[in-house]
Amino acid sequence: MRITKMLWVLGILLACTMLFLAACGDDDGDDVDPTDTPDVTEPDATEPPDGVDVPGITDTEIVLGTHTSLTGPIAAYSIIPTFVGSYFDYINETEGGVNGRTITYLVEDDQYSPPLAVDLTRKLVEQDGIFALFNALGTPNHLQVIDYLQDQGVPDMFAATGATEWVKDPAARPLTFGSNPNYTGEFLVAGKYISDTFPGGKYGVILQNDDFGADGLVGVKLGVNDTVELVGEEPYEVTDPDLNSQIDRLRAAEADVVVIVSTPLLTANAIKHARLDLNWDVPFIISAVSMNELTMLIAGEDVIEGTIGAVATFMQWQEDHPGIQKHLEILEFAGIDRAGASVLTLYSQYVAEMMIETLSRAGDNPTRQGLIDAAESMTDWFCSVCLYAVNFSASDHDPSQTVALGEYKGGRIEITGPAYTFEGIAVADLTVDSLEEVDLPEGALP
Amino acid sequence: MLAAPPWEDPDLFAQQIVSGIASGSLFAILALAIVMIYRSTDVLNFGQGEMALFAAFMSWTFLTRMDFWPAFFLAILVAAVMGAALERFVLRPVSEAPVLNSIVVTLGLFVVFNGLSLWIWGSQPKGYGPFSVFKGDATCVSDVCIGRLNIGILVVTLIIMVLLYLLFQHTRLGLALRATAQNRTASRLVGIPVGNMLSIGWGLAAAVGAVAGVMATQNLSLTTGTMFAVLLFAFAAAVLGGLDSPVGAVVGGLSIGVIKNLAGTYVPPEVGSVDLLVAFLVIVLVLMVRPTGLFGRRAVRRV
Amino acid sequence: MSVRALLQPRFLWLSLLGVVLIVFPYVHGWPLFDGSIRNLGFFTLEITEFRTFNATMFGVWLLVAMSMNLLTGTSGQISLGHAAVVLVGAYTTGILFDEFGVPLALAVILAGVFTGVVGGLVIGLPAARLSGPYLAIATFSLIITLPQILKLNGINSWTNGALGIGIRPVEPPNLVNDFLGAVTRDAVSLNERQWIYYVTIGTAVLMTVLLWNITRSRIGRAFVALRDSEIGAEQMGVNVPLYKALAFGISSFYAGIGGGLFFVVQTFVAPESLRFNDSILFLVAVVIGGLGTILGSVFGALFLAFQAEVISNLPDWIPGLNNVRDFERLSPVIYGSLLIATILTFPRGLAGIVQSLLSLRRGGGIGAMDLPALSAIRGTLRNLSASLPGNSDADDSGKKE
Repeated sequence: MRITKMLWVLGILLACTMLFLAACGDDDGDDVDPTDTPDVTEPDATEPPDGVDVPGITDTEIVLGTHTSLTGPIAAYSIIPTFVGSYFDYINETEGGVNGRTITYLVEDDQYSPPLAVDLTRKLVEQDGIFALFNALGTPNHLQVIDYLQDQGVPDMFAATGATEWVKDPAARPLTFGSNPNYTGEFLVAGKYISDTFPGGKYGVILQNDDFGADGLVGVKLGVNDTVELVGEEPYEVTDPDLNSQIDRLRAAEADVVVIVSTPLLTANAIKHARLDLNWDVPFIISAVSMNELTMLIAGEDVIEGTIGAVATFMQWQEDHPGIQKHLEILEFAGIDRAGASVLTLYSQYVAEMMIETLSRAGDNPTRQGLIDAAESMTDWFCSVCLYAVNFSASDHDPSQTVALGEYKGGRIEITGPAYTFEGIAVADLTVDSLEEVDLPEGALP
Repeated sequence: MLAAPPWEDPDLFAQQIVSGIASGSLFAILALAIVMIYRSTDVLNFGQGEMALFAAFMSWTFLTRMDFWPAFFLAILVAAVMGAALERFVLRPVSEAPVLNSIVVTLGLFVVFNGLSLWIWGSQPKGYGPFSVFKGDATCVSDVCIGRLNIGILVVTLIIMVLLYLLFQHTRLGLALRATAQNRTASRLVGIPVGNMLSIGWGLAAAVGAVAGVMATQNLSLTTGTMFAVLLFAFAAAVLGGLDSPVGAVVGGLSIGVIKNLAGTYVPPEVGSVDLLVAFLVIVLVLMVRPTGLFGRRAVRRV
Repeated sequence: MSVRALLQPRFLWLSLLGVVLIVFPYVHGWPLFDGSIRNLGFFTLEITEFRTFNATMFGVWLLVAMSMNLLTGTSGQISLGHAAVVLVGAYTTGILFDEFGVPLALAVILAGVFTGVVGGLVIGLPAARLSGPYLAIATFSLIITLPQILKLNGINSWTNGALGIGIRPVEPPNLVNDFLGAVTRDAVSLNERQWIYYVTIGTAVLMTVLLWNITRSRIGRAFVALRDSEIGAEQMGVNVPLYKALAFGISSFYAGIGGGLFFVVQTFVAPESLRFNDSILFLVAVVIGGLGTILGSVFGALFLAFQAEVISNLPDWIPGLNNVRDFERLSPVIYGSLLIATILTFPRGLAGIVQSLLSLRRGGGIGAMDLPALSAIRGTLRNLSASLPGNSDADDSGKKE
């Protein structure tokens, strides 16, 4: 009889459940605590005794890996892993790598899919035996693997994000380092700018309905500090094809300035809608994520003129700057046309140099803990194209506390200032009073 | 902040509707292509958005050699030939297999065309449009504005809708296309060249899709990531209107655009962001009342 | 059971499969599989620790594929929102564990039940009015709107908004390791990934057996009748709305369990952990695998488990391609073409090939190839006509034994 068979099956299922249940009952107390720090520090001292195997390190080679997008919906960022790969090749060829070891960079294409990112990251760690993950890109995908990396003790170096959640508490995620100034700090500066430029006016915010948008909104509000009236918080979903409705509402609310916390495609469409469909000449302040040539290509040079956003590096047209000269040299080495130089390739040079510096500080016998310590030891370090210094410490995994504003002018991005430094990353520390105006570096102004 | 109700701020209300129609016309124009294929070959084409994108990229290449209008029509022509060829060599072999097989084939087309666009034209966005008559200042009445390109898209959408309606209802070709979709064996028996009809159906749909691609990418952007979001809403539009009705596709597309905007504007923000939720709830509710969409006809099939 | 029964090929094959499944998480340390045998042509025989996780995800995907296949292959209901159902299972598990302190195992089972009930009532009952592409798009609204629902202010405190819910990896219970240690004198012990492998594969195997029985029961035959012709099924006395709801319910139960295990295995879930693309992939997986059969679900699950590597490495495997400009970016083109080619060549999926080969070997000849399917349909019709009202001994499941 089938009924009896099914009963048997259910019985066995139940038995297994009990076993599993007993298992979890045991762990409940000590394992659910999310702030529980995994044991990553226990086996390795900074210098391993000779002959101890460190994953991804041989006498001649350091293996790094990443999950990123070469194809799929955000393939526009694929220039980053490509250029980083070329940069490492360049270092391998001209300097023989770092401390006598060449760098191998394994790039896995996750197509912006979280389940694929999990598979590929596990493969990199458990099969290819990478030393560290470097510059993983794509927020939802990386979110899916970030705690796995902590559990496995794999350094998660300079992820392509400014999400405060990932870097705000190095005690909870000791192995993750960011590479952009955190979004809250970035928009704190934007808020300060609004407060100074539009006193007594009105502003509106369009934000992605996730932590990226939330971080940005918190920052703007802190920076404005109620000196300018907030007339609209307009969320959108990443599946939305345009932001027309949000722009219309802010126009009806008579905003004097609009902040857009979004990615290039939608940012550009929002600006186009305001300028072309509504004849609305409102100033825009956009995210550093969108402050690049992609947004300009989509919106058009005339349309985006005057839009403001945070910048972190010198620009590719400032050819007198030694860092930019180096950049052009590497572009030539990589066989990329000079016109292909962009904010994204400059960002790539910045993260690649930061990785090289960290590796070289980790010494002749690098370990994973040594790599973390090396990164945390970086204070006042400048990359060749950076406007401001990078600072890490054991309690701060956010690279930069200085944000300068730039502007689209005549088909290029110019660094116009002002620039501010801020302290910390927690909302409690980030107040408008903690902002301190700093000078732009020499040669930054056109 | 809750928006002022329509009676206090009629301009906002009107603007939301106008912008909703503008966004909706993009969904509608692609939905027309989906309806075209469904109506003539009974296949739900998931590759439609990417085929449209491919056509838009082709027109971008042609633009380096010629003006907008010749490039536009050349892209439509090439797309139509490609569509017919796809039907003949890729879709026809699965026409007798279960319907799911043809869905998987069109999903394959989705991946292939997106991949080809990325490989041929790269990942960087292209500066693209607005061109020719679509370029110009916005038109404003009182404080309610609409862009020149949006008017253009709406007009093109309506023209295609009327042409398709005339084709299906008032020409012999349209009759043959409909007959083929409904019953292949019977059509063959009365002397309709069924194979040709299927190819023509796909070719025409690809041509409509090419128009959709060129218009949508002028408005949004010419990148490999553009058409996916449009495709999602175009499917919703086609189903809301009824998968076999060109008028339905347009009404469906415009309604979704408008409903989404109104929900985003008038639902209190304390609830959270619900515009998508409301739009799709409306679709499901409509389907509950009319299982074949607003304008769709109930298919009667033999057991 | 007699000795003769134990020697039957089917039993031997199943035993062999069982042994492989049991020893698999330990194989990566063995001499033969540690990569020491290199250069078997282009192929290196190496089973790494990663494969344990790979196989664990295979178990999760098997549950998902069976769920999809029961709904689409067996009952003929096309769903494009299946990823949403899986995500609901994952979230229910996460919320029960995180907010209410329910033990994980119980949370997974409750998630399955909850998802099943929700799937049956909220999706199944309305779906009864829809068919074909209309149903497909109605279900597709689930996966489009779910991220927005999960981030609503009202339930934000449970779902943790866009940041999602995470847990620590599940440790094997001391009981198990103590027992293993005592039996094998400390030679064998389980680490966390081996433990979760056994839990997942064990659940998947049990659920497969359960499904095997369901599809061969009266319910299963009603599903098949539903797929072949709704009107026909109705005429034969099948309560169409009820059985449609039941198909969605049982399928969602499987998806819920799969989703719960997805959460436990990946130790994380967020609103975008599964998206519309994944919904589509589930559908593609069962069509490529083979509709309506368990073997098809197995192939589908293999497809889902290995696609990451395939996508990532595809261009490297094709000789000569690395001379082509940007060849890494060709992977979607090759992948999509393979998809189309497979479905054109093998319309009944990979399981269809296996079945054809088997029937060929049994001496049926080419003509016998499609007979199993035909006779299955004939059998269904016979059974259903037996259960028509007015037929006194309607319960055929009892009669057959």
